[in-house]
Amino acid sequence: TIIDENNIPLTGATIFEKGTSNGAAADFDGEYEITVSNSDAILVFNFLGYEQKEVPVNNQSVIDVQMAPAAESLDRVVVVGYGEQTRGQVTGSITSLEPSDEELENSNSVEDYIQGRASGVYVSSNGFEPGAPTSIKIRGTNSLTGNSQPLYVIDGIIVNSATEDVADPLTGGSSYLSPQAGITGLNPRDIESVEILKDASATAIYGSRGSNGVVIITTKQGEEGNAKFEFSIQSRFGSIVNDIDVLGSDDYIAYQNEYRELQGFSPNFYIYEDGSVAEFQNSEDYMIANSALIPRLVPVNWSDYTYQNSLSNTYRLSVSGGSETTKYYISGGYTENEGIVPRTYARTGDFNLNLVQDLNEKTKLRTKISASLSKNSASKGTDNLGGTNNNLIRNIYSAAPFFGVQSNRPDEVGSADLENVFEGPLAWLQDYDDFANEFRTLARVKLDWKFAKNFTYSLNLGGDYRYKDRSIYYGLNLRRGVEVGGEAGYSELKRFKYNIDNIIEYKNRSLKGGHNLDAMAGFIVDSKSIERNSINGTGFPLQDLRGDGLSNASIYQRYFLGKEEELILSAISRISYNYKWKYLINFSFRADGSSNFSKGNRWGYFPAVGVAWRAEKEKFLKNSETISQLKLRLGWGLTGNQNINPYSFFASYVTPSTVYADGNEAVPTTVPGNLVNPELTWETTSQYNAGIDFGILDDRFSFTADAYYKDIYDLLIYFPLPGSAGGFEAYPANRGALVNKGIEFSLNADIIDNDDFTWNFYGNISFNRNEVGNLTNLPVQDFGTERGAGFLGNNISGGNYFKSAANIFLEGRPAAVFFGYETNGIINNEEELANAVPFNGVEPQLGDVYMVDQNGDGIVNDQDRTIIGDPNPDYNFGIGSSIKYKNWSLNVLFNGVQGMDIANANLQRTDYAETNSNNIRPNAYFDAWRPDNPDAQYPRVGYDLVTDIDFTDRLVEDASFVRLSNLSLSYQIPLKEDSFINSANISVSGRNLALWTDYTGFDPEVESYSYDPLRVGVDRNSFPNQRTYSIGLNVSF
Amino acid sequence: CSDELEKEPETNFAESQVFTTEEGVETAVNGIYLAISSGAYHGSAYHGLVAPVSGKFYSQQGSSEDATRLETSPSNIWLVRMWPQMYSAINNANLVIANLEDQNLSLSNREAALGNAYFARAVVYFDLVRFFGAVPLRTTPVNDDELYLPRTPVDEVYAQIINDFEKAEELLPENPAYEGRPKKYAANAFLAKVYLTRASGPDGDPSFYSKAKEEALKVVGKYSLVPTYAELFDIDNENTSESIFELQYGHTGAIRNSEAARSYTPSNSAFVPGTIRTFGRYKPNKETYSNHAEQYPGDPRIDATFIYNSYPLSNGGEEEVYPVQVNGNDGFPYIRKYLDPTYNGTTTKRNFLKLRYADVLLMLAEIENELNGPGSAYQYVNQVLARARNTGNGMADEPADWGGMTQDEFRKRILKERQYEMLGEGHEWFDTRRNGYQYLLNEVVLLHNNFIDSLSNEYPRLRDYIYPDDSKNMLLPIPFNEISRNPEINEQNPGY
Repeated sequence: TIIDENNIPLTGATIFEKGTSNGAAADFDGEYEITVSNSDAILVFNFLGYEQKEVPVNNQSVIDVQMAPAAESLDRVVVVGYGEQTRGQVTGSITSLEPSDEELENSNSVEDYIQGRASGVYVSSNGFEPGAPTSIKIRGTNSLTGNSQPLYVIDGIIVNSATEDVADPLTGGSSYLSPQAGITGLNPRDIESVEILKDASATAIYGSRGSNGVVIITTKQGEEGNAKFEFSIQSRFGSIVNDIDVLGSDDYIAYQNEYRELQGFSPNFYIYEDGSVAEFQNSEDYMIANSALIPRLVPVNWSDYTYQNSLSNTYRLSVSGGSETTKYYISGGYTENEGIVPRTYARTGDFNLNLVQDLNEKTKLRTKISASLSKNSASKGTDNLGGTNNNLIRNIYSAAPFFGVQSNRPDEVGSADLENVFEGPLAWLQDYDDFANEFRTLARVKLDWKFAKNFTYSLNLGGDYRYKDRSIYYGLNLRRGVEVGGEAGYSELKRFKYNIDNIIEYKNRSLKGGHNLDAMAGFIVDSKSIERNSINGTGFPLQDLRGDGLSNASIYQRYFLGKEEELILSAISRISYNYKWKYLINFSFRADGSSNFSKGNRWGYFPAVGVAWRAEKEKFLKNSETISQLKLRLGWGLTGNQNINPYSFFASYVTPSTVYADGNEAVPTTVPGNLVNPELTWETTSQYNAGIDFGILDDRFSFTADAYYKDIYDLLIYFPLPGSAGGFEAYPANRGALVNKGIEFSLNADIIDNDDFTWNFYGNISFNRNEVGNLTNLPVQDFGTERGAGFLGNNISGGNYFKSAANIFLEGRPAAVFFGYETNGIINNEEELANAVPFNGVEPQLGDVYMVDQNGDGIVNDQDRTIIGDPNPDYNFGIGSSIKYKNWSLNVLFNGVQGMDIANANLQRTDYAETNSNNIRPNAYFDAWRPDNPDAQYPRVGYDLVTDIDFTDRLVEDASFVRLSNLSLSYQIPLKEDSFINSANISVSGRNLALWTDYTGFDPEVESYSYDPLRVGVDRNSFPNQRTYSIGLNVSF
Repeated sequence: CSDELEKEPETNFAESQVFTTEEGVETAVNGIYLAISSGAYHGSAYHGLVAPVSGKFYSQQGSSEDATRLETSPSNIWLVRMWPQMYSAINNANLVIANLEDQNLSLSNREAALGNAYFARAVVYFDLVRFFGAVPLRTTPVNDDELYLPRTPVDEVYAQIINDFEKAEELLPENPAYEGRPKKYAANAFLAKVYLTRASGPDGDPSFYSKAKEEALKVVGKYSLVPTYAELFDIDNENTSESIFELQYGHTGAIRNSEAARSYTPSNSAFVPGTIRTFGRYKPNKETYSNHAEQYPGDPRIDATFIYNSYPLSNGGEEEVYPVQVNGNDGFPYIRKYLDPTYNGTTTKRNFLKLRYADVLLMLAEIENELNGPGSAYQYVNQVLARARNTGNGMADEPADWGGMTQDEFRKRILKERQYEMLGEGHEWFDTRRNGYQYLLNEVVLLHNNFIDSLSNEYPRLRDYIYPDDSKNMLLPIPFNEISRNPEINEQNPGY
């Protein structure tokens, strides 16, 4: 009789006499009969999913065999923290992605690829300019420090997540550049697999780095065999979509002259009888009398004039292959990406080498070296804190739609050379530079030594060096430049990181009685050092060299040099035990000591445990024809976050960028550099996860569901301080708590799976609910209509528009909900006017925005602010499908977000027919309140009461959307068997082909301050998105 | 391995490093004055906010519009910047005090540095209490346990100011080692001003007049008036014998150190090198000029204080301004005291005269008049007037010596006199507030409104504002983010 580990007969097991074709099969009861050739024969027992077993006959006539389930040799290997597990061993929540070539081709970056493909993962973009940062949130907002991005691990190299950048080249001035970021140094086409570790039982092994989730990226390795060359070329063409529509020239004149008339002033523009237009001077008589001398204005549509079609070309070659002992994968390529704005581009060349060598039977060496060099030219984006005048995109939609208008010129540019002065968008295009060069190299050597049976020691050395410089120039056509005779700044970032992992691993699959045990323990060193410097100068006698002429400046600012160092020492361990692959438990523990905290607060301890039950291995499912997988998982763990500026516990003095003077001479000056918090310690996340994996028909249809509850406490936060606290803007502290809870589902279905025809469908959807937890140390106070412990986010801008916070963090409320004034349309008639109350002391009038008096005290002021929106999505999802028929394949991906609000800060300018020269959206003018338009949606022409500073719900828009993000079709060219070329493939694809949304900005997938968790869900002069089409060719030989 | 985790900043100093050498201590003292002089305080915010809200100046800058209308918003950008900067200066001073209090420190400059710290702290609190009334009083370096402080009553803030100035008097040297640092008598001069402020107005306590006099008399003879009024504002003649406390500015970099030069100097003028841009944002009100011109026709101080009638343009032309022009942006005169021919578009070397000896003499005159009537008060004011008449090439007729006034007449005139003597030097707000709301209403609000009303008949489209009759203007509002971020402060100043 042949039975399994549970004494169940194995019907259909096969029995062979070794070395012969003599065989038999077990019957329904697991019984069998075989006649062997001699008494020394050896019987070989086989059953699918069980380990082969050989038994010598030795004259026995009855041989009963109990077969053991096969080690999961056929199961997919999943890369987990500091090791690998089989899929079956995993007890945590891990999304594994194995991208196809086509999917990678259509992804500009890793983040881009992940978008829509993993449940619980939310990707948003800071803008769509080449090189703009992208942010990834795993299972909601996890942290309120500057960095809530997941940890990236590329081939065992701990790669810092994205938000670090050079110091602002114009140090200390009123320049507040937003950081450029992204996972640089990795070409998406080299990706073999991506594992997204979402729950604590999976990420706790990364301890202090694990709380935002972990993204482990494995790049392609060579395989045994002859060298295989792959060459690909792809061109992509794009153009702007969802442009913001503003008034045309004629309507703009009507608007300008109307508001001037309402103010009792002379018009701004004069239209001659022949239809030509000039700026109005003195009087109509004067205009007519001097008609011949007065210059005419030429209408222009700045958007048409500025935006161009983008073009991007990618060339890539890879070679892979290897012998039994050596395997190599070498790739290199070049990508150039010219943006939709002239003079913007991103150009990257990269190189990657992966080498795996079996040094001898027991040792294996893995080597990786990759390098990339990129050059980037950016347009003027949103200042971090300043106003928005300095923004190219803003200029395009709000400049007066004429050439030659005074108001488009920088305020103080002298009148003498007006003819030669660039204006508005043109000045920003031609006379502003923002260049960045980046060199990044990732290297790793890993040695695995099987020094004893079941034991492996591995030493992994990973290094990541990043050099970046950024150079900014303001020329004489820009106000900032002309005030000082040209301004240029240059800054550098030199960042080196390394990690040393010492790990001993024990793996035993042959313990008696169905016990399987893996264990590992290790010691990790993880270090980062950063140097930043910058220099800037003004007053260039010659402008010709622009930023490169920095040596030619007449005045220099004090050179800035800053260094930081961070070290984490860790001990880690993991025990993974299972009984017959049926009952599984993973236990891990990590202790981290971080140099970012003072003695006594330095060590953090991060345990985690995960258990799973694989029901499909139980009797009652074992023989099921349909259910191939049914796994229940439960996990809990603690993770930490130590991501805060180093030395926050250390009282320091710095030399400020501007020093005191004595007479005219600079004198040595120092000022306190920080507000010390000696008690600063780890931010901790306690996360529970419960999940189910379900598969039928040999996992042709598989389904995963996870529910989680995350309690994040001792939140590390740069807490906004009142000015009376020593003038410090913010204080690094462990304050408050966040709770994220949610459920996520994903589904994969191979609906049709034939040789000629396959149809795959996948989808995922995630619901996350977020809540601000207990805010320790904060008293209960009033915030407008709300009462509770809480605090406001950071002010959106320091300039004239949106000079307030958009977000509030209130105990028991979702994090970062919008906080401002509720409005109730426009005061359209006398009755409404009678009910309206003064706003900030100003009596209402017909055509004003109707401000809601929340507390009924007869005035609208700060105390009437209330919650007016929620930037946290209700759910986000992705749906995709791929169909292959013979040589054709078709891929499609939709993604979407529902129930999310965005504060469209651009409306402050474009949705009000104010009293300035900015162009506006057509509706704001045509549907402005007028006595003859008493049902207006927009306030009267000339209204400027709440446009600039205050945040009202008129800016809050529903940003739900569904996007057809990707559609590609490829064709495998049929080749003769003996052709030199192995395969050739042509593909055409489109990205962002359709977008369904009510959002009126450029794109609802936007986060203008993705690096600042205290400014959430705000669209402030974001960069427009594009729709692109590409064609590509892949050849391998 | 724990030692490995002991990382110290490489490019910053440890606090202890700064306070172990004499040179280090001086850098920290400079840090206090830097904070006071920085853009967010005296460099820019003081001009952008305090000048217009005083009611004696007009600003065409958007960010000052509310202040210019005397409807200051709690989110006024200058206000929002100035408040934390004032506390930053206080914290810098507190750190110096905390680190040097140990009497066993063998640093030769310990006392002088402490004296400067107490002095500077008191100067800032004196500004704070006059701008905002009750304010959080912080006398130790800010730390975790005391991030939030409630407002301390005005009397207690003044007690601290007096205490600090008294300590400064003890500790400051007679002859400072550095130019631009205050002498010990600077503390007496400020004490005189503190007591005078406490004594003034219907709510004042007249018993403070004698203390004010006592302190002011200690200053007499320790400084001297420079021979002519005009040379006070000669850019090559700073830190004069008349200067009691002067904030220092120099061409020390490519970041703007002060808005004064570009904000007071009219645009496209020949006062700065040809390619340099200035804005002429802050201008005296029409009546501010007219009052002086009518009171003392031919006063040499008028030419030294104002740019009026017209000014030379960089292209060789002339721009006509008030009183030749009455309408629009040109319908104002300008202040001449911040011209800087060395202005490079970014930095100015023009110092800010926070307190000078003429002020002390005018205070003495005011005090003496209150205590003993005008008879013994003329001697002080007449010193100032005599110097004013000196043109350098002889004596002008005006301003003539005072005499034969009643006490009440003297009281009114001396306050006006302070405006004529010190216009644009940052005293207008204080001098128009310390005498109570009725004084503010008459001397600022009605004076201004009646003046522009009378012009409006001729020029119906004047670019000027009617000031509100609103006693909230006795104080500035607490910045909105102080209230929203400080749980200990829930109350805004009345009227805001």
